Amino acid sequence: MPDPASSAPLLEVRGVSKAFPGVQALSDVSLAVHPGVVHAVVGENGAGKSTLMRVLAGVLQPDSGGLRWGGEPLVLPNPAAARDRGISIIYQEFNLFPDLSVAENIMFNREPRTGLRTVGWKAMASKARQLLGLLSADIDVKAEVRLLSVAQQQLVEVVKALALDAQLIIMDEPTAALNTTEVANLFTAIRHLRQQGRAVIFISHRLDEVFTISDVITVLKDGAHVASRPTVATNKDEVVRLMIGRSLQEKFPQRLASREAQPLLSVEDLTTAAVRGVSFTLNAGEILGIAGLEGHGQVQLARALFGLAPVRAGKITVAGQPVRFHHPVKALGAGLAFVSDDRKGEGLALMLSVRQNVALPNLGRFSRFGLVSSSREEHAVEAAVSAMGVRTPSMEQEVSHLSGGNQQKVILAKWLIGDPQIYVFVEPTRGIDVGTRVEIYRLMREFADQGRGIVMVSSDLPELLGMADRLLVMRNGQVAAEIPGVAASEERVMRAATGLSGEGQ
Amino acid sequence: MTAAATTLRARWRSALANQQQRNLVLVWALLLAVSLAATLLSPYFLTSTNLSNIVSQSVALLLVTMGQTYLMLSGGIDLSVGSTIGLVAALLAITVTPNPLIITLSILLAVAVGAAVGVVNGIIVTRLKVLPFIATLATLSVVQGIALQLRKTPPGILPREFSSVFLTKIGPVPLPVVILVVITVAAGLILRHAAFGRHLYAIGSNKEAARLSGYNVNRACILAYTICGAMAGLAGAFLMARTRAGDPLVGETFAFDSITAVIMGGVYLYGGRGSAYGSTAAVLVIAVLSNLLNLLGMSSHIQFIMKGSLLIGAVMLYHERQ
Repeated sequence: MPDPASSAPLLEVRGVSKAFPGVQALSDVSLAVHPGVVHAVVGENGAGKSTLMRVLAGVLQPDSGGLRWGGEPLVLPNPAAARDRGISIIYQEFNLFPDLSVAENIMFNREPRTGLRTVGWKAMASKARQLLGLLSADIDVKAEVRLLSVAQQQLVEVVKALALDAQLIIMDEPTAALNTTEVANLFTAIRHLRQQGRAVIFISHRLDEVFTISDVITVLKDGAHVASRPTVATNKDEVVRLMIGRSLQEKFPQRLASREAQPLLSVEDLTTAAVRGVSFTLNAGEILGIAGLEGHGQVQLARALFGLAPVRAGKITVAGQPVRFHHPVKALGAGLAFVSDDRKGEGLALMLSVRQNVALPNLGRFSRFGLVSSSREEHAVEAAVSAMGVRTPSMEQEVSHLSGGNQQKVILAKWLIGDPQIYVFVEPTRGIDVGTRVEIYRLMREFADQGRGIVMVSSDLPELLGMADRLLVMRNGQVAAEIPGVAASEERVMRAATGLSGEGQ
Repeated sequence: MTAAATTLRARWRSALANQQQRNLVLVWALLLAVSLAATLLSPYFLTSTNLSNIVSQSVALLLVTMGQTYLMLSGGIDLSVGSTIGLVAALLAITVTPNPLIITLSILLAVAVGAAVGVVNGIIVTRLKVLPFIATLATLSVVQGIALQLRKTPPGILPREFSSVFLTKIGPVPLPVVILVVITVAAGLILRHAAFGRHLYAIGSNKEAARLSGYNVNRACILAYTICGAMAGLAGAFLMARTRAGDPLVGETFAFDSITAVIMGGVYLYGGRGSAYGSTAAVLVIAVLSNLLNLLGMSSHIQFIMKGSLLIGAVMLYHERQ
């Protein structure tokens, strides 16, 4: 590994501050990024990572402080300026053209031309192929990008940066949607970049990955620079402590001693497009974890419980009554609540206020003769919001301005009012920072302790192991294994999920 | 089965798997089907007079539709095309004399006025950041007002010489047919092979990505609105050559018809996917169906019902529904 101190820094951030109305997003942040170094930037949501990144991308201009590039002052009035200087940024939400080919995406706005000023398709394809080759990426350059997997799209983004001959490549949560193999491929690509002497800024919540790939780790907290350490000179505990200002000894809440089994929900031979003959029972006070590799039917199982995916066969019983939900309204009425992994698409109306979001499914409860009583609404909303510990300046705050973790708590508050007995969670902590996760875990455990039942689908295995009283491991739409929480281990779950063991079969 | 046939079949199948090409095949098949039906239903349909009539009737709509195609591929839309045509009609009724030089200058004026309306639309959409639908709905009203204000009372009649320009033949081929082919092929080439055309797809596909790539999205959008306006201006001149009456309301149906044709031609509602060739076929489908209704002696009001049904049908057929 190159010694960060041995070379002159490529990019220096010097005392950069940036404020938005009501928030000091960055205050006096300084750091140095060296060529040939993978520099991880970690911090909780709201720590200022994305603001810093947008300053480096030329999207935002700092209020004070400045940048230096190769020792010279650097001013980035717009994204084009950053790009021209050799700074490329790969956003979490990709900036690709889904309807154009891979080659066109890579060579956008720098298409080779023929003598007639038309696009030189052959030259473009071969240049794109050559660049993909640099990362040993095997992708058809003529394929339309929307038909590629997320991992392939990610590689296209990286190659786009190469096409610009970027010296600094910034990646925001690049592994969020990738599986283990895909992460390994991405890391291979990042190592290629490092060998070529390029600098990489790697932003991630996943500390395991940060420790695998980075050379230097910088921790931000509340918009300020806390520390930068060579990766070999620190460890996860220290980084977590720096990130949240305390150590995370008790991450998962204590499980209550086992109680008498009292079934809330039972499913027999449930079959949908992606689920085949699944049966299980959920007891009061229990958190039932659904594990498995992505795409093995876990999400559809959860959705089918709530009437969001068509049930082809099988029986669902809620509180002793056989039910079949054709519409989520029916599921709500039967005492179910669904917390989607797609907060922005399914969970919240982002442009509405906290109050409006929490009130939305409950308006009937606050109404008399079709008119909403605003005092009853306000009381109920405020009670639910404070019970869930939502941090918001006011009930009238637009939900889009809240952090991911607080948005998730708004969703919990919204369901809380109807007092559902069964919660279905899909990826309850995806994209949520460590500190808030702990609070969500605590709330989930509280729900269970109050006698509710929870079905929890997650691709975060440590989280499932920490939370679930019982685990169902799915493979190819079927239950491959059922493991009691206390007996579950990462290895045992993975063996069942990959079909390595005959567990449960 | 020979190897060649197998390859051909495989290619055909992979072409059909591509939604864009499937839409293209569908709309041309539809054109073939309605033409066939028309041939069976009316003995007059397949006469050369009738066919050339269909083409010259559809040139104005083709011009507007092609302009609209550039725009809708980039995620824009222009509702003001009909008013632009009306404005051109009112202007030409004032300016045109039998003098060939004046006629030429008037046609250029028509194009320039259309382009100017397009530039205004483009600036409102890009600089003032007004949604295209609302921006062009507003200019629709403004431009229509200007046209009505300019109108001569009683409506001016254009001299016969103006029409003859558009009725010339190039060899044995009537000018409208030449224009139809040239406009289609030019648009096809520009959209497929010119960087500008590809960039319109890119903008329709992901505008933010184009902006963050350092591409001047606003300039390209303004250019697309300008092209659309200029095409509407030229369409206005064409329409005048056929009707010779300076009626400022002559373009009223063009916004609806051109948008219907673009969508029927397979352009994705939000931009990014589609082609020029589909738009041409869709324009011809509308023209053939209208012509057939005429030949069968049905009320022209039926055409409105037909076009509305075509629009819904196209959206149902092509677009990924929720």
